[in-house]
Amino acid sequence: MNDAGSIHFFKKVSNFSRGEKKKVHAILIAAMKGHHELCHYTVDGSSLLVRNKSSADVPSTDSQFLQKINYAKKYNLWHIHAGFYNVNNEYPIFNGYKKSVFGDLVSDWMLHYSYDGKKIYFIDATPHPMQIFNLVVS
Amino acid sequence: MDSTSVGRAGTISVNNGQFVLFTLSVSTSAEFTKCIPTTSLKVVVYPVSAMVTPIAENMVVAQTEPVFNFDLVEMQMALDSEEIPIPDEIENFDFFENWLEQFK
Repeated sequence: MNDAGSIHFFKKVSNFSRGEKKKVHAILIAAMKGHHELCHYTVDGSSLLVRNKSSADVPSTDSQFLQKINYAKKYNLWHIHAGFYNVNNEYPIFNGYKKSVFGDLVSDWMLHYSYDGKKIYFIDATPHPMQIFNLVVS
Repeated sequence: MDSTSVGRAGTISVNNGQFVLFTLSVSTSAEFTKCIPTTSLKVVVYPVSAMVTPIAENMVVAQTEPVFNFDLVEMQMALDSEEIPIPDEIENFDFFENWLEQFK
């Protein structure tokens, strides 16, 4: 068992409601089985993959394109869509996801973690749009 | 500022409860070292160049906005932060929920 998280991360999760805690819990359990599980993470009611990707995957139109890529690479940042919150029923799948134009599942909130190829270290949970420079990387 | 990350290497020292001086690691080119606790639980950080005058305990007059405003408890936790291993027992959700209580 090598996975871990920061105090900041667990402090934030501790203040979620039970429903969101369960979704975080499911992702942590998947992480415990390896990064491969996060890359193939699905939820009940859909066979589509939940989006999990390197945070260095920045749109080329972003005004801070290179800075964000460098920051993500520096801390090996990844994020997985967490499946909450379902605001205005815009995310009806699993009460927190919707199908993206790319055919995977996305949600309003994400869990951020670093992954160095061996260990997964959860650092933060934030809503869209992602403010990568504000992540508490401790 | 671009980032509010706190460096692990920093330490907090309090001088008579008025000024807190330590090195704050931030992802900008500047280094901020002037920190003032405004309450027992809050720390407000101004750039070194800022004109900041303490006028009474927990009260300051500043000619600029703080660059960093942090809960002292959260800051101390970040500074002291060690990696929190995720215990195998969290596979049980009830255990997980109870385990999280320590972080509140």
